[in-house]
Amino acid sequence: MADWIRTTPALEGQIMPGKRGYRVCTRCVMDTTMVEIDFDHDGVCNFCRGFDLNVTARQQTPEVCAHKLEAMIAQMKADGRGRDYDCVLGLSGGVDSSYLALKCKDWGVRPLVVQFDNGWNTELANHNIQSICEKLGFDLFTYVVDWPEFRDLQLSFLKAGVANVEAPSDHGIFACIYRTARQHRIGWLLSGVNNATEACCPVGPKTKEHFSYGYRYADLHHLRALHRRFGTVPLKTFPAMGLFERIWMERKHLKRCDPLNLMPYDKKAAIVELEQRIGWRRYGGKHFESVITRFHQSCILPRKFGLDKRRLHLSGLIWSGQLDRASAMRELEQPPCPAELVEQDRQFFMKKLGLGQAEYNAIMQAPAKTYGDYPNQNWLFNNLPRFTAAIRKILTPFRTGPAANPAKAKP
Amino acid sequence: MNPPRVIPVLLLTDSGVVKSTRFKDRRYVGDPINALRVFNEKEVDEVVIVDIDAWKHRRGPNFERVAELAGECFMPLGYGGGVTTLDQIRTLFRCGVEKVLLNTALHSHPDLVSQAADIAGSQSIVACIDVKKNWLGRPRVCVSGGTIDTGLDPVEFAQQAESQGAGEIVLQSVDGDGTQGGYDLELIAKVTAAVNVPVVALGGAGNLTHMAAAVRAGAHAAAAGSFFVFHGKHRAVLITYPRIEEIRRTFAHG
Repeated sequence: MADWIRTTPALEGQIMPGKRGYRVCTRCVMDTTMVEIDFDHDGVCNFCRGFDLNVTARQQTPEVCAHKLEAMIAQMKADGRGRDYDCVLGLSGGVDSSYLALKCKDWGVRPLVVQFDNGWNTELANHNIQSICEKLGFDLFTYVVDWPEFRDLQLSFLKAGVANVEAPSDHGIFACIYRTARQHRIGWLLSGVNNATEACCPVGPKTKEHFSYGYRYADLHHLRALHRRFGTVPLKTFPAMGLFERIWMERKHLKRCDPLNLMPYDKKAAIVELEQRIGWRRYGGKHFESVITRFHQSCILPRKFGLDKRRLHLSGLIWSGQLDRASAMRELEQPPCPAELVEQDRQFFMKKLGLGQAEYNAIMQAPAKTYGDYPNQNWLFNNLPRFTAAIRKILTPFRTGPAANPAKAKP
Repeated sequence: MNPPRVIPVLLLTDSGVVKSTRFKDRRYVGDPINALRVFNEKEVDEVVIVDIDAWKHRRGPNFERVAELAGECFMPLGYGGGVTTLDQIRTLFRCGVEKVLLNTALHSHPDLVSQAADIAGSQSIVACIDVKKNWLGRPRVCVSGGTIDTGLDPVEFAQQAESQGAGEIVLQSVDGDGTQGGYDLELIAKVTAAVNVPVVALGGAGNLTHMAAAVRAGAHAAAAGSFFVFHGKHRAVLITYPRIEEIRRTFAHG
């Protein structure tokens, strides 16, 4: 097993590398450090099965995908006619969103580029965002979080000892993108979500209750509960969006399009194209465009939770056939970040959050908690399909128009 | 030959960095530490931080914060805001600040410049002169964050600051602040002709060409706020700094 992670103190309930009972999936590189994992008799994990079920089985032929994408782009352009923008595009400066921006230019789609500045952006991210907007001629909209408030929120998550320290950022990003779209009357949302590099949809009963990499960031109730318990600065400007507002937006105002799933997307080729066409610059790992993400994945997650997030990213590449398992295993032997960089990030992390050495140690040594130790609305999220079906059933008799009865609409 | 210095100016408040337009309409830009970190990696010549809340609350500089920011800065740091005594200037230098900017104190404590220049040397005492056009369109020096019009002529005021021992003058146009429409070149030409110390132009830069024009008008260096923090028509916050080749090229050809 990888030496760099073996030094981690064993965590209760988790089977760490180097321990008895430790097991890795025979097809991907997911292992028993993930609490929701479970294996079939061939030793294949439920993440692999989830991919087969949700992605491979639903995969359509390239022609169908291309046709779908074309139709979506045409619709997007038609909806945007007479307006300033066709769609809204969240840009982090990372590979997926940058590549999507580049493709928008090729398709002739006019996105409003939205950036969520949580105060941790690196110079590289800024450089990439600037080159994209300047070279492609897109307008940029930035939402800057109020730092004292956001810092307090991030500290609450750290003090709570839960794994998803990034939840405040993720929550803010989608809330900010949705609201910006609404503000500018934009009807389409382009998202860089893709099965090639980040599909993760494990199946099985455990996956509804266990979230080893972090609980749903969309759960505002959970976010507020943690902040009430550990925070001190009131949340006045943070873009918080509850579940119902979100559903309303998705149903009513924002059509979502994930173009990267509808086209051949090869990450390595994408990086080369970005570098050649817009002077984009690459950085180490996935999501390393932000200092806190880098530090979270290279220090907090492995040392405190015994988790190596690269397993997820590498498995994604294995499932989509961009990487073989042996090279993924080889890569996992190396630490995610050079030790000097981790130390440098640690210093910055402490300074930026205003943490003393003692407080930092307290956070790192406190027992790892899960979302279940705090108030949450997981039950609501899990039963959402059931609720929406029930509500739809009740409302159907009151509905008018072609949507209520598609059979009548087309005589 | 090295091109003239291109200096970002960050306006600090209690909650973080802001950017104003004509000294009003403050817009939140973010946290100073991340901004400085980005500037570090972009290899910026020099940075100026002005605490624009310091005079309002009648308090001196927040030394703890200044020390923290100076520690994060790889480049020379100039500090301004709320400086009225010699002790404060001494402490600021101990915090790691290279230059101290005096603005309101030039008017309210006229002896401070000469005393400070005696202990620290002229090169690190900077006179920051805010100039606003009055209703007749005549440029007048104003202090206290642009709220008090002293009625003094900027040229004479600059000469006076020079004679007291200020080693550099930051000439800020209040009317140009945040507009990104170009510097007040006439003012720059007048002041630079009258003094021998270097003059840094500030207020109105929207691109490098504006900066090159200021240098041709006589400025020794060009400083700006909005240019480095805003991007595009939505004034999206994005901390940037031009590449050295770009700076060279623009200043060479104008």
